[in-house]
Amino acid sequence: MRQEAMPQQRRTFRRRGAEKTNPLAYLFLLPAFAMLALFMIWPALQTVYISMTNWDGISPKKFIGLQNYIHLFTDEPMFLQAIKNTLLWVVGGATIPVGLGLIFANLLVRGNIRFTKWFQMGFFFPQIISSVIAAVIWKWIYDPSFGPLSTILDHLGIARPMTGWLGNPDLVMYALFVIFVWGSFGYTTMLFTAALQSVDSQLYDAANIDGCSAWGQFWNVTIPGLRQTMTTVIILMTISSFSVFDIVMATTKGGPGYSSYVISYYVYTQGFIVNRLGFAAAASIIMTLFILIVSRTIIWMRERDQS
Amino acid sequence: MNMTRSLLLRRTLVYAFMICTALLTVAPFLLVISTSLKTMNDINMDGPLALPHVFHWENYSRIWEVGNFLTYYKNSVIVTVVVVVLVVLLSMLGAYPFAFMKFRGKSIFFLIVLWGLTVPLDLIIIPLFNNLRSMGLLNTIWALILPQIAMNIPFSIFLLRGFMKDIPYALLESARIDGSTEAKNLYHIIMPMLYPPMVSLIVFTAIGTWNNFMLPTILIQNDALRTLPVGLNYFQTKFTMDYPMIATAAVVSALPAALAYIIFQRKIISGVMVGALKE
Repeated sequence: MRQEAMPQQRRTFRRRGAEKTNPLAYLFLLPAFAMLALFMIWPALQTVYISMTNWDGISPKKFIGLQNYIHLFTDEPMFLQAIKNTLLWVVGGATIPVGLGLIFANLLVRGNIRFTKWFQMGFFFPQIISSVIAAVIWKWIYDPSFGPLSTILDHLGIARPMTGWLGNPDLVMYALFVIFVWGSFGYTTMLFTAALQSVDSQLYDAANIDGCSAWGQFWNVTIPGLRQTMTTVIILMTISSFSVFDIVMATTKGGPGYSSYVISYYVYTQGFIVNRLGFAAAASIIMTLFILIVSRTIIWMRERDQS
Repeated sequence: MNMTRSLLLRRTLVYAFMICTALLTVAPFLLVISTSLKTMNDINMDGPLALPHVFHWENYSRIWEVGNFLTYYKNSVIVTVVVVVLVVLLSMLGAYPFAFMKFRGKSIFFLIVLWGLTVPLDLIIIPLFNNLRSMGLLNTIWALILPQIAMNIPFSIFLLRGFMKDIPYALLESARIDGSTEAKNLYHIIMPMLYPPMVSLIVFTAIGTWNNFMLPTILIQNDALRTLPVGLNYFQTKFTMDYPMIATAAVVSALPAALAYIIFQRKIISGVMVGALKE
């Protein structure tokens, strides 16, 4: 959605060209761009430089070129684990909540369900609450000795991991991802519901007359009608998956060991706990590049589809 | 007959599925509310799922004594209000030239806005910390306010510019011919027409600022300046095993957002949607 403005932007130019500058424009832009320059552009440039130094936050910076980047990829299992976890999270985050949103929106709109508003409100509620509150609640739910989940499974006689879900290196990422899905599927449902309501209902009538099954209608009418929204939602979910931090910080702090490290949490610990600022800066740049590449690719794929 | 029965069956299934999902979604909140009214003894005796025998409302009076939640509320409110007001103001000023004025370097300025849309906090937080320290702003409320204003500006300018461009240009042209100034145009003509995106912008910025966790975690070490999410996280590390107290803290922290959601439900929902789906 955001990047789409580019072609439109070019059009504006042709129409109104910069043939006469109104100096007042700069006065209007000044406060906003002063803030941007001071608190975003300048720090971003500094990060690029810091990522090429061995800075520890106190002693003077020493320029070491791309060594941090090389080290990160060759000699830093913690970072590789963080990348692996983050990429898995992105793959899951860009598909599962999107799929669930599609299903629920479809049921809400096409299923002729009553109380739609109430269902939506219920689904959407976790989105309003800060993810820290969600993390605190779920940390307790997952607790192996006092948590509701263990109690329920014990009652049903289903075996469960003794260390709990957050204490098990193989399960911890899935357990955390469940929190993310719980918090975000109401949002995707909401966005798809709005988009679905604007799909021409005559298309469905026509499909009905042609003897198209509900499943066929979903594939042939709903999905094409929602293409635009789907790209938007996928990009939103991708970006929020890449920058996951709150859930990890408020539950496992990357543990057990470093099995639940994500890139954002790695940046935080390297930059502010162990004071390896060069590494942290390099990791944050890798993360930014990932976000750019992935969201660009999604947009490019859509534009290719359209033409 | 057969047809209607299978239809009925299908509808029942759909309803059952929706109701189960809704219950599962809300269940964690209900469990937490129930736990917040228990004592640790109750949990040890009856397990975490049982309803409390006696409602221990005193947890809700104790919470204010053991945690600084009033301070956290106050900080969250101050930061959110200041950030929202300034973001609205600055981005309205900033969006106007993009939509209605001619100036050199427009494309570069707009590229910066687009760039700002995808920048994660991680990319700027390390120098930000040091810059704020050398400005003497670290561990002040300004360390929370100023960077968050900056981080919200790109999206806000982008959103408002999109809506401003839908306003007929002739309206402005005729005002200009009548000798109106640009500032007056913005205030008298444009602003009144921006009601829906304004609501959206305010909702978006307010939720984002209210829930922001990474930035205050890093920039604030002083308990008197913690915002609600950071305060709650700090509290849970202090009271690790006292589940009723943590549950009470979670409920108390969720309360403002939950109340706002219930009261402004439709505004919030449409606000979030307009914000996400515009263009």
